[in-house]
Amino acid sequence: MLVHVEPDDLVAAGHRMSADGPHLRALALVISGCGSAGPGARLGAPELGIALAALGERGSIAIRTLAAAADTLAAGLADSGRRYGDVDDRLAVLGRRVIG
Amino acid sequence: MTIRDATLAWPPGDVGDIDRTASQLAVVASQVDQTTVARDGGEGWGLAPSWSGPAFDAARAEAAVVAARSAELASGLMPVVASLQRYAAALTEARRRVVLLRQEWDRGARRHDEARHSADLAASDPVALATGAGAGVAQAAREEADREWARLQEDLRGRHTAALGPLTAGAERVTATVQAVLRSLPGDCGETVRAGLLAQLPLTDGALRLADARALVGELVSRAGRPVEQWGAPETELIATLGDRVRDPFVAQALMEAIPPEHLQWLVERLLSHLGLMPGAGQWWKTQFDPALDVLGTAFVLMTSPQHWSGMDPASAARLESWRRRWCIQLADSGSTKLGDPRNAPPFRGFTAQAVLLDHGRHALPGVGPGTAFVTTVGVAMIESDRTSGDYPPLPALPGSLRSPAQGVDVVASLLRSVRGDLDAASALLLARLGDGHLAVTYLAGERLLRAPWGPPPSANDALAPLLAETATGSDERSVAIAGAALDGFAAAAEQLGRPGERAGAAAALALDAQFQGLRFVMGELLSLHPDAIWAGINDPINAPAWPMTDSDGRPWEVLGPDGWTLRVLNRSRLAAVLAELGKDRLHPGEAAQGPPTAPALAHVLNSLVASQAAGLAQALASGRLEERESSIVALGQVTGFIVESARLGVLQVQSGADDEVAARREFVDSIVALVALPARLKATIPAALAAPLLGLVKAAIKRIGYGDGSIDNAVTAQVQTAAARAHLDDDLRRLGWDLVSAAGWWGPADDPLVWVQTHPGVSFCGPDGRPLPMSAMTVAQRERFLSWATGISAYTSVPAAIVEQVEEGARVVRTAVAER
Repeated sequence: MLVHVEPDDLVAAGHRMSADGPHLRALALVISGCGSAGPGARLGAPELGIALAALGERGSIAIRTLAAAADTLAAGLADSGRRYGDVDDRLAVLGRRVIG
Repeated sequence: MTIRDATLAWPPGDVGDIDRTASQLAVVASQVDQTTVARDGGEGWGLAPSWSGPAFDAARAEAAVVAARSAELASGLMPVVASLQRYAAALTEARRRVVLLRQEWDRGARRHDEARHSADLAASDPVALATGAGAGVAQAAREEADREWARLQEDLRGRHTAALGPLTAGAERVTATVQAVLRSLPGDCGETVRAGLLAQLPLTDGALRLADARALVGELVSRAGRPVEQWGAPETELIATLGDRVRDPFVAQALMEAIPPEHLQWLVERLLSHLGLMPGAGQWWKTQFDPALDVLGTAFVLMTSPQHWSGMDPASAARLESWRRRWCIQLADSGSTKLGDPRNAPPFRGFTAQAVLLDHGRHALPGVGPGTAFVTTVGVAMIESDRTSGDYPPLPALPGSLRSPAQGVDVVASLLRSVRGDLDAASALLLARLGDGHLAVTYLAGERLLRAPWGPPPSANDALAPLLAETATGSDERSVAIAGAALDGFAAAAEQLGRPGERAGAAAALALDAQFQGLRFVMGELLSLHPDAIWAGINDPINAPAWPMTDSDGRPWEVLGPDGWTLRVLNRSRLAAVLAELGKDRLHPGEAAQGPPTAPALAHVLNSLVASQAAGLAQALASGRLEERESSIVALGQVTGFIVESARLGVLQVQSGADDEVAARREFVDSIVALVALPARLKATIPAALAAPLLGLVKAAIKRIGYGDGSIDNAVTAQVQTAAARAHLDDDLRRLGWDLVSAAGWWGPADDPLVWVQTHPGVSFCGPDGRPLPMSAMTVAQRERFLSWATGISAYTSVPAAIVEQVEEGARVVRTAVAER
């Protein structure tokens, strides 16, 4: 299986994505605030309150899951970049490159 | 509450709350799809020019899901925000209108009051009182005021309802937009939403599962209250609490990460040593430790077996595979280290602990065994350690020493058992090359057997025999290579027993009989899959003393024959040695046979050989070509002679060593003969006249193994007995030769027996096919007439003589080969 890797680009991409997880978690906290209104909130319509409470709970979990995905990708990219970089360095010593 | 407020109800809700909710959702809607991963995710990921390959594809697919779900959430929330804002505006407007309505109500109420008051004043006017018309006018005025007021109320009520209409509709619209977002999420509660999303995000799912598993094991470690390198009996209960959760490969990985190989091996050593220290309560402690060892064994085996990492995403599998490679190297490197008391006999090594875990893993997870990568690193190191360490056979314990925790553990047996059912792993292990250049299977089926004279049957044989039956099926090159290497090792070891007839050889044969026994039948089975190897070995013009070693990776015992891959035995001496061992299958030296054996190895080979030779002979006789007929007779005769003589010498050798009774041999030989039978398919294709004599020949030949010799414990007597037995055999063979000529119709048209019978009146000696009956089926009269007719047929002279000659040649070949050892 041929692979083509620029290790530095992977590390940089991982670094760029590293802020996504915390940001999404902050948004998850925000949307969960809708849920805190609840059925008894002063929204004027009980059914709306129930729906917004559900949105607060499920939306918050959905965004937290997306945050975990962003964390995984960021960490995976950075880790892969470092690993490929190590291999690249070793191959460079042997006069070869990762690019197949 | 006033009637007004009850009638013109105040629109519920708090505009501030609604605005705040809308603002919060607006923030989420505007930002959730603006992350780097969401912007870059999908097909046009910016990393594409910098990265390609399967890892990139997996990461891009994951990012695409994040991008799609983020965008979906953002686009779903936007209408919620907008509708909430409209709802807030509607609430404000409704309240403004209700305020106006209430003011109008108040004004109307005042007018009503004033109208009624005016009516009352009019009624109390003196003029009206005087005329008597005042009461009626006043009543009419009051009624008019009431009607007016009622109409106004009704009007206001209707307008109130109309004012609230948009508000209700607005709330319903908001609710609908929220419901639409909820429907777009993959679940109807928080837990299912998370699970649904993770099902689309395999990399994330794996990362979270591993994190959860590490947290679970981390908690277990912290509860233990001491470092894992000190773990022992007190921690078993804690380890056992993992239970079936350890079947999750993430949990298994977390556990094996937390207890690295060196500590794991020490832990097992401490547990088994603990059992040894409790002679009276060992069994009780064992039941206490087994659950923990099952958990550890399950984790151990799962980590060795990538094909059983079910439900694992590619990235997690790749990470685990990378970790596993390093882990296996650590297991192999640390496996030969002795642990515990240095006086332990046998010593407890790291591999001993690993073998214990393999056994427990096999028990806890039936059908799951270590994969190819494990056996080619750790497994080979285990066998190499067994070969070089001298641990097998175990030495007796030193006086006064405690029971070794390694007692009863055969690392090789555990390893072989663990790969049952996994053809690739088992084949890779058996064909792995050891430090001395030999293959693992050659060592296991050969040299290892010689290490424990007078020892009990090695438990590794019980594991090796079924493994060979599974892997050396003769179906492809790999399986033939395994069969050839196993037979070569077995034959080389059997050859070490020396020459039959010599005291030393007899003693060695007796001392090692139990070591060879477990493999005899499977060796017969392997040889029976390649019956051509016997004639090829007998007829081998090279008869090399050693395999050519031109290629270190070569496997010269496997060759590509006309019918596919088949095997070769090095030389006639080794072939004779194998057949001698097969002749001893199920034989109890010095004892009478314990009932008929169920499937002795020699009978197995003979059935296969008879099938093969009979098919070839029938074809050759039918062909009418002289050379083909003669070569078939040569092969049949020599193969028969070689097998009979090899087996005879083998039986004599071991029985000489045991100084057994003749009856034991007779029962044994009879039981072999009883099991020789032609396969049904051959019965259907070969004329009975040919098949029956051929089978009779083989049976008669086998029967003479060890027959009639009351004192075969020396070579001279055995030689005398051999001559007597051969005389019987020759008679049988001559009869067979006559029957073969009759069955084959080996005469010219002028000598047709039916014509002869017609021209020489008398009883016919022919069967329905027009050819002479087998001699055993003829009456005396028929035989006389048959002999009269046959006198002029030259084949009746040459064929029987040729068979007898070739059988003798086969037997002579054995004696020559054995003498050269």
